[in-house]
Amino acid sequence: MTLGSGGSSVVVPRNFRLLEELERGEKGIGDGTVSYGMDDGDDIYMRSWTGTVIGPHNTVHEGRIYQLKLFCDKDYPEKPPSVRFHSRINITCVNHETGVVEPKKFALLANWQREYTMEDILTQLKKEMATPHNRKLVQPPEGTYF
Amino acid sequence: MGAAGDSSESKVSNEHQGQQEDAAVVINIRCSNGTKFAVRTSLESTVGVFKSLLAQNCDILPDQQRLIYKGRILKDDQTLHSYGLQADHTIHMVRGFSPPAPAPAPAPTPAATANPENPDSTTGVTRGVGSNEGGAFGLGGAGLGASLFPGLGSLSGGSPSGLFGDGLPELEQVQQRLTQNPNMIREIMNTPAMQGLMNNPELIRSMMMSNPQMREIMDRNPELAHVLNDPSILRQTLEAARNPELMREMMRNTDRAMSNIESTPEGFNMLRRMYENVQEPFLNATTMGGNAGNDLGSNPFATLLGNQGGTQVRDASNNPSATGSETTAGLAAPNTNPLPNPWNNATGGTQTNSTVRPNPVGRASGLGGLGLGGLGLPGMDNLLNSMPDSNQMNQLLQNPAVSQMMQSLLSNPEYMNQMLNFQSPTT
Repeated sequence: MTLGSGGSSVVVPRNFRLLEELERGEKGIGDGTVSYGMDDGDDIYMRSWTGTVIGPHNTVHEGRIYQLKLFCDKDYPEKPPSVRFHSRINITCVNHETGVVEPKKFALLANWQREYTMEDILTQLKKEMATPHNRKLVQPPEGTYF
Repeated sequence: MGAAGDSSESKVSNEHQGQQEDAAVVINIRCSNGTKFAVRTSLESTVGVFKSLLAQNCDILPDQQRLIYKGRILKDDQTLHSYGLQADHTIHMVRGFSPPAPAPAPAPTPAATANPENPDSTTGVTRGVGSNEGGAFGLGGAGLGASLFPGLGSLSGGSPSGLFGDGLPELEQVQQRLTQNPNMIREIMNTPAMQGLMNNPELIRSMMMSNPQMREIMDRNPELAHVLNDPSILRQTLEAARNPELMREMMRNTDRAMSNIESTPEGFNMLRRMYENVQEPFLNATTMGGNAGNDLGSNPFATLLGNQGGTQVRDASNNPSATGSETTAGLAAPNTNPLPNPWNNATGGTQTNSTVRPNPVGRASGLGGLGLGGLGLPGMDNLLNSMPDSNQMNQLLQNPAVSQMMQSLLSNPEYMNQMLNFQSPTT
């Protein structure tokens, strides 16, 4: 949350913002239960990202590693990135066919603010896995992908 | 998980590593339990080598380690450099499920004292018991055991290297032979070693608790945790596996309970709920364990239950529609038919029986979840409540089958207890 917190007065440009996120991802700054980084270091627009969420304790997801694809278009962070699960998962806010996290069902994307980061998205998805309606759902076998 | 306290040694133990390789850098490791440590490594080393280096600094074996960097899972044969790793970057480490730790293997210890010639056979036997109920008798419904022991099965089957060690391939064959021959199992069950095992429900419990998937299920299902924590139920199950008479009796009770279930208004819902709460997680636990193993064939339970699971999914989807009409009919005119006699297929309750019969598997394992006929009992209770007419009630009670059932229920305080305990969570 500290990241880009000055958003109201100083607007951090897209590139600076993404570089900052990249560094946080590489150095593992943050709560340490999610990880993320850029797919292609040569992409000057820094659009394509990979993230992982480690399944929270005391849920069916515990011990699993979920991989996601995040795509930050050029209007990021004004607009949220598109988020898609690569590893198969069964939770309510994820489309069962495509793995796309549906913004309508995921409040963070629906009410996106430019201070939010990809780390926030991943952490929030992790919390989502631990909600009562998701934590017991039967999951597809581990290691299967959308 | 407990990598705590390892961080202090990490720097020291890796000094020599740093001297051997030129471009050594410090990499931070963050475990999923929150502990951190740093190691010194060359970026040219492969992930596999790096993992064994990490294993010296924490208690997670290399093949259990799963490393994540920049959102990607690192593959053993790639070099660290290929992932773009640089000095002072952080790698996340998660302990994977795959091979359960061999450490908690409580089975052989007491068995060894009782039967020093072949300590290892006991574990094989325990698996045998599970299949004795679930497979050889063809009716998982007979028990708790059927569902309990697959968990165990996956514990041992899922980790060929875990319980038995790699050097004992022939043990697998022994186990398979065992599971195919119920007589042999019975004989073994009567040996002093097994008697000792049976008199120690704690031991069985701890064996089951050492399977992480089983533990997870118990965490999520207090009802089940109760079953597994109750020594008397465990003992009863084991007794049943040994004593064919008792087994038959229990299966009869289950059968009766099942044939009554559809005359209760909530009966099928109850079945469905049970399927969702109990059977599915169990199946998951057992089949997941099986998949983790090298080959499915080595785990008879995984295949057995896997098949069962398949059938069951179909049954579950068929059940509500097929029986819905009947349940409502029952509500409108509460149970004017005499209760079907479960032993008399030809004459009694042709219409009701026909809905139950087609899916023996679903029934069997559905019941198996709750075990020991516990399911039928809340159903019975509902049934009694739903009968407004005392005449009908009398009629029912005079039915020899019913009175016999009631008698057998009432004469066994344990059974009674069990059903009272089950009732609160399930209804």
